[in-house]
Amino acid sequence: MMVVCSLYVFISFSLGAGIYDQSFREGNDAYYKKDFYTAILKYEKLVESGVEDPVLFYNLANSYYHWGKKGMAIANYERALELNPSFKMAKEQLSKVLNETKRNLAVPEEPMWWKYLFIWHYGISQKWTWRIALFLWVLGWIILGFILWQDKSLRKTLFIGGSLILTVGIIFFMSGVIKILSPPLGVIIVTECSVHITPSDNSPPRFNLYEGDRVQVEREDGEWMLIRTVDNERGWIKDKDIFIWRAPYRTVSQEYLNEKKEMS
Amino acid sequence: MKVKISKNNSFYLYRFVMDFIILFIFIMQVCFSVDSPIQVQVEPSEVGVGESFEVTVIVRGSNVGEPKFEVSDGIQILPDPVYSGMSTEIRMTFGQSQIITTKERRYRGIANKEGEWSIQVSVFVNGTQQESPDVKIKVVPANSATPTNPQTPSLPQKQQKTPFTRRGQTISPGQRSANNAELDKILKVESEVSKKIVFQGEVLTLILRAKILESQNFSLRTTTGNIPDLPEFEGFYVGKIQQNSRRENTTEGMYKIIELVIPICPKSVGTLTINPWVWDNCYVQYSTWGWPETYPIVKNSEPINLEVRPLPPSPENYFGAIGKYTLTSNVSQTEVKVGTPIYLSMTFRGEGYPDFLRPPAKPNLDWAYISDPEVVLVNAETWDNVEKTFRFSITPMKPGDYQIPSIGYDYFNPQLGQYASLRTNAFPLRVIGDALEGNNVITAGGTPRIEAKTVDVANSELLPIITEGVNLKPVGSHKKLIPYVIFIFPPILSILSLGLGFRKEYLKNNPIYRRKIYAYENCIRKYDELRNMGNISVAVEQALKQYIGDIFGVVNTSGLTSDDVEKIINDKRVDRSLKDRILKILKTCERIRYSGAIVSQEENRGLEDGFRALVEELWRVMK
Repeated sequence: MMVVCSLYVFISFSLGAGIYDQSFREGNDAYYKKDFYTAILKYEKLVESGVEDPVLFYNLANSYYHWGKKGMAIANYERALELNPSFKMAKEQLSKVLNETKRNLAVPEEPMWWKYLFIWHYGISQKWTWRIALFLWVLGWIILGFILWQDKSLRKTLFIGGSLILTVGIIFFMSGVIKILSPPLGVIIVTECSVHITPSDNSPPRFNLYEGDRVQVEREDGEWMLIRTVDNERGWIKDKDIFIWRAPYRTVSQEYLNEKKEMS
Repeated sequence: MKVKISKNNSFYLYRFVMDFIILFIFIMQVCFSVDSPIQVQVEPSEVGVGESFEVTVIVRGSNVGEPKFEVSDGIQILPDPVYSGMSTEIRMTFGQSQIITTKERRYRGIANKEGEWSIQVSVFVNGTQQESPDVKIKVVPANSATPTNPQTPSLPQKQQKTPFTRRGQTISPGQRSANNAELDKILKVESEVSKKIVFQGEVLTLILRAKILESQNFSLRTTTGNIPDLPEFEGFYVGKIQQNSRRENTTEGMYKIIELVIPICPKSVGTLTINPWVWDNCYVQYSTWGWPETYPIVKNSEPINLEVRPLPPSPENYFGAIGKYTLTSNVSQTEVKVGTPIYLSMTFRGEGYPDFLRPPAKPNLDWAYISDPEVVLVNAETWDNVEKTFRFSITPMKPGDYQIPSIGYDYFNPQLGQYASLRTNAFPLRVIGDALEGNNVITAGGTPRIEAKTVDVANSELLPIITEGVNLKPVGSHKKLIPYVIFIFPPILSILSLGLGFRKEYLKNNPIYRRKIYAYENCIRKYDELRNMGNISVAVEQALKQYIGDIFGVVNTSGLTSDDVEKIINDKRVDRSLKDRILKILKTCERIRYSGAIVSQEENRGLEDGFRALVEELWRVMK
């Protein structure tokens, strides 16, 4: 029975991986043939299937870049960097694309005191934050759990060590939670859009945002989103004008791609 | 107590009340006075027949329509504005927020007839039609008008003309000139380039500089909070922009200097213009008696014309590189088996636009297959320190001693104004093994790989993508559960372990308790030991007494009699039927022991069964 189950799991995983590999290869082939629309479709299909890999987002970003959609390219470079903050090629390419945007608007950041307090957690990806937190958590509890089974002379040291490890683990856990709970970031994907004072078409525009501008989304209200720029300017824009790059990873709609294809 | 107000006092009281009323009326008038929301200006105010002029209309209000002109016959105003602008501000007045939109339109007009003509503008503001006061323009015979600067629809000239007070009043001419002089000092925008005559593709540095006067009395702000947009760099490649800030003390005061250093590279030849850097949408904010007064201010740098010269005719080994480079080359191995690729690397370092640094032609080798090069680019953004490596994989097909020939690479050095040559070394290579048949070679992108997973087909138009080393398994929901499971289990296991540890400690430190806990096991063990010696009644008696002693905490159980046991049980209030059974078994055992009678197997079995049932029941009850 065990053998049959293992075989089933193995075969299903192998077949599944094969499908994704094929889709990825087709995307790469289309990219080299400069059929960026097809490449984007293939890569987006993988994203929709739940594949979360920095390389996939990097390739997708390059495809969007060549297709002329700098906003979407920036979003996907940011995703790649979110999963792997030391992804040099993505970092360089993001910088290049940002320079090609109208304003190269910086990402809205947390206050300085916050950044100094959590200075260590900015260079670690979400995945690694959880891994470190889990490791320390398990290790700390193991040490604490076996205190009473050890010699009395060791107990004090083990208690302090275990507590410290647990504390550090909890700090990493908090860091992961903060990363999840902090307002999502988004990028403008249309050439130009007006930021309104209230979530209404009749509301006068306050200022404009341009493709590639990165903003923080503070609230969503129907088809409107309250955004904040790096200068702490706030206003409402329509959700179709912005793309949120934070996990869970959204995919663009087929309508959007078709519309852009027709336009291009 | 009555207060008698003298005539003199009543005079002061009356005067105080009157002063208060006058002051109140004055304040209310200041606060609620309504100015005309429309401002119209004509520049110049005197033109010649056939000459053009410009009409600027600025309208402020919460809901503002488009202006309509009523003009005299002698002039004509073109319907389409040459400039349209709009800004919105939120104003807090007595705790109420008010959104004020300012629309600005510039129209071009043409003077047709000589005379003095009036222009009136009507606009729907906040649902009601408002009309501006008449603005006069004098049309004189051609060529006799006061010479003025040619009118261009440039943003800066337009907005400098219309400083606002806090309620939208235009400042009087005298005030305005004084303010303009001051406003001129507040912001200075400059631009400069490192060279004005350049070659096509040469990298030059553009510096955009804004000088902002620092003062406690006012501050310069932009509506967006950012520095204004950079000019359009049409016809140029643009590199990484560096922003520097510093302070400079001048005779006019302390200036904050914002400097943008931009590497640019002209794409085409001819005269290319670097557009002015326009600081619009910014205003100077004064604080007078707590009331902010804002003045729009627009400044721009001068446009810069560059003369871009074409490159001279290129040599054979020229592939497009422009700048100043050095070349280092190496091969990964000097001895290799047939069919195994080696890598020939050419690394260029220096200054220049990196995309022009294209790969050289592949050397033509009849004994080996050469792939297109892989490209590794370092410092792509900083054009003054570019490092680009082209890596060819060379797969030998035949054994023998060969030489990888030297590869020439020419580039254009704009500083010298001529081409310069670079050349790789020639590398000897020994190939061992048997010759390969057919196309059985390992090409670039296959194995073995030196370093990255990157496969770039040396197509300068395409960005490199990564084709290997990708984890293409979707993150399943079961995988997402794993961390939660891991988070929950360690504390549970740890607490269990701690509980067991505490129990161990307690048992270790408390022998009576330990005896009670292990009473059943010890009893059965003792019974089994004694039973093996052959006397079951003795085994039952001893085991039962030990059991009673263990569970009731009797220190010495060796000398206990059934009477002693009865006493202990009575003290502990054991159930009557149980007590009877205990005593019955003990007395039976004593009787057998004292009488010395031989007990049959059936009787022994009955005794043993009774003992076991009793001990188990006692254990159950005691638990």
